[in-house]
Amino acid sequence: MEVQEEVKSSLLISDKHHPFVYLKIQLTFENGEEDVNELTPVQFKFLVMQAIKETLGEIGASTPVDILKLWDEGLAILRVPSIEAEKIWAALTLYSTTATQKKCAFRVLQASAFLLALSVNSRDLR
Amino acid sequence: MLFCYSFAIKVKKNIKMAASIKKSTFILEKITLDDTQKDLRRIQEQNFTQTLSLVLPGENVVPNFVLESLTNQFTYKLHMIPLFCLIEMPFVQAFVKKGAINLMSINRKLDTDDSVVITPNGVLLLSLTKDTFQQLGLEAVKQTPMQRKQDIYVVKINLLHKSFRPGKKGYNRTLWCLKDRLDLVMDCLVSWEPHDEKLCSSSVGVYFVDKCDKVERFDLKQTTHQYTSLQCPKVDSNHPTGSEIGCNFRDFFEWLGAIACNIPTNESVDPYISTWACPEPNTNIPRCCLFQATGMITAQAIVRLWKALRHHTAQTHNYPVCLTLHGFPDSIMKNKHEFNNFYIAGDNLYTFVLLPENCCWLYKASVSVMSQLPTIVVALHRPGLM
Amino acid sequence: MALPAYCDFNIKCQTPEKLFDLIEVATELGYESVIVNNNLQSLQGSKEKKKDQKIKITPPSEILLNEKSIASLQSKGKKIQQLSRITAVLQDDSNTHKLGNADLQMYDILAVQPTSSKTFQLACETLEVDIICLDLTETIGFVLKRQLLSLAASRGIHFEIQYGPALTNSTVKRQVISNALNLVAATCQKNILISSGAENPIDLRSPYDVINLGRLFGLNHSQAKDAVCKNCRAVLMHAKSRKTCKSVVLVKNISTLESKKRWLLKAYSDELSNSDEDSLKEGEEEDEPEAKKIKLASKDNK
Repeated sequence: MEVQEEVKSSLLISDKHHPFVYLKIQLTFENGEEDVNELTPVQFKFLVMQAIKETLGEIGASTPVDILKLWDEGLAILRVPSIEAEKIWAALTLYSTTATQKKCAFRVLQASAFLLALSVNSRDLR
Repeated sequence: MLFCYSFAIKVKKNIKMAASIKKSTFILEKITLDDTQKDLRRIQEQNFTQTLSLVLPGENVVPNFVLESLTNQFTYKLHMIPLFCLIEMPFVQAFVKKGAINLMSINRKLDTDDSVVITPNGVLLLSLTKDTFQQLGLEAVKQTPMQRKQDIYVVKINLLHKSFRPGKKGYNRTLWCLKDRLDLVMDCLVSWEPHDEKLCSSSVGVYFVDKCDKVERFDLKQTTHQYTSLQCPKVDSNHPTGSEIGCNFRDFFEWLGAIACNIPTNESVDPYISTWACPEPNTNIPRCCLFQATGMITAQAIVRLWKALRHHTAQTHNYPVCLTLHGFPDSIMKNKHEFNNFYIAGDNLYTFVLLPENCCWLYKASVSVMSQLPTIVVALHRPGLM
Repeated sequence: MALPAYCDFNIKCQTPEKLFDLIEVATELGYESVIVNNNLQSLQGSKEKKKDQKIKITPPSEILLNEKSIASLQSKGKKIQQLSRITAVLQDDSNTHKLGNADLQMYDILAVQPTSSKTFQLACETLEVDIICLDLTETIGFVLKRQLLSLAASRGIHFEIQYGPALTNSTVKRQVISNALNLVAATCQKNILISSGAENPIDLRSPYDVINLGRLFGLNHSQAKDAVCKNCRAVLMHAKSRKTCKSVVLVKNISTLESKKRWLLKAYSDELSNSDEDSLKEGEEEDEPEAKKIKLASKDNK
């Protein structure tokens, strides 16, 4: 392999293709109607999938979306394939009512192609 | 479609960056830690670091040298400092010319507000919106395409230039523009590394006391997280694209992100929720420590930390030790050479991974232009398709 | 002067308490200016009643928050600016002269909502307004002609897309997206504003969410960003130039000149050196940066 020949010298790899986009999102309910802290990951995933299905249909809902982490207050990190990232983001933005007719909103707080970047609240310095 | 997912790999014998690599947003560089001090030069490229995170596998607590190397420098927050104070001669003479000064405005969005930085090599940069730029009347440097799109102008003033002093035309005009034409006032962070060990770095705070509303000590916020029993991927320093004894460099970077975000690595998660798993091949490490410090961290402090870290790991070195520098998303410069820009994010990361055999991987990752990501490909001009 | 900060162009006017909540959430999300909208269903007074009965228009000071509550928002260290806007629905082309009424002109921004092909043409061609918004929740009953839209664009008029209704149900959502795509295609992606039209804080979305939504409406990356910041500034400039009538030079009395602009006097008198100094002292002076700006704005206008 080409790479092996270069073993001893310096090595530089550049990669323009990012397979995933990571979104840090927050789910809020109107007037705190529902306690977001009590949501289980399964329920959260269900809401996300519903949001995607509502705007993008069955094909959109077949996109693999991973919930990497769920914190309190409805904060979560999603991993989506970067090709679908904008569409899924838009679908989350346009979601407003749950199946039980409660008003809610997904707000994307941070989006990045690198998971490491989400560990820091980018504009949070006071 | 398959081709899309295979990585474009470019291997260069001697690092003479090709144009295409320069533009790229994700670069892995392998550095041999020898006398050339390339690693130190790379650290010094990164001027304004907001957060530093350190992953120390095999450690229970954060070693003392880490805290020591970060704490002996004072950072001050200057409330509402008028910008003309930054080009006044007493300031330039005392701080910019001697030692290394780091100053940048905070709580200002790069894409919609004006902002300022002073780099350690004595250059003052102003990033201005169109309105301010037109009213200010100072000359801007050539815009990058992204700045042209966003109507952002960057004014560059070299404070150390030999003809930049009172009495000269250029100096007088700059002072007049900043002082009399517009009252530009901003909140700034400043820290100063003295040239002489006898001096104290707190003198910069004292200097500004009567120049602005309020001067405040700005301390680092530190957090530590301990892991017990953690899956850690194995790394083969010579085969970053993956081999039987080491995982792919991109997977390793994702794993680092997972550690930093406290995502569990060895619990089995319902595949309905997440399909992410620790990259193969991996080992179990009994303990690991994650340390994060947030504030304005200067390159000088990081160099100190890096030297101590190398010294420390020379003795106990079984697992990769990782140091990540998160640049300020709203700083004008991404590193020494490139302008930053903010579209929906201004991520700018440098990650150093210390590996055995005096070897180090350096990741440079920055994404600020969303168009570098694949985009919506539905034919949107025909209504009714959605 | 107005920075090209993030701006929400349409927040429904309502009781002060609710409005306060709305604006508070908007600042938290990162907006730096909000525009409170008063919807006027018809320009026409009802005919059956007495002749002299005028349509009642609430003055803008009543729909905006008072200074005290704005100051309490600003004290949290965030910038926020509020402006007023009136949107008049154009039922027919007979009453458009009423747009010039002092009541309406008191508002910072003037918008119209044409309902038919005729009124749409009128709005694009002649009416002195800042924004044209169409009801995107139903089928637009007429063809959006490119020539008309580009004419309006060259006069500095912007077109508004409200995403608020798209949050209600799937039929409306489909209609809004389809109409928005249509509108964006017809305007060649120029002069588009995206606003919320929110009544409740939960209907607001952050500027970056809106930028991404703009991508769904067929704008490219920088156009989508312009739709929430740069274009908003252009509208404000347009509104300002509309009020000062068509002008390239602003004449001001010297005594009202701000101290920061005194240098203009000096520069001017240096130029004149010894000749006309007396006339200068009498007191009128070109205000250069201001004039430059109005010039720019009126370029949009004409």
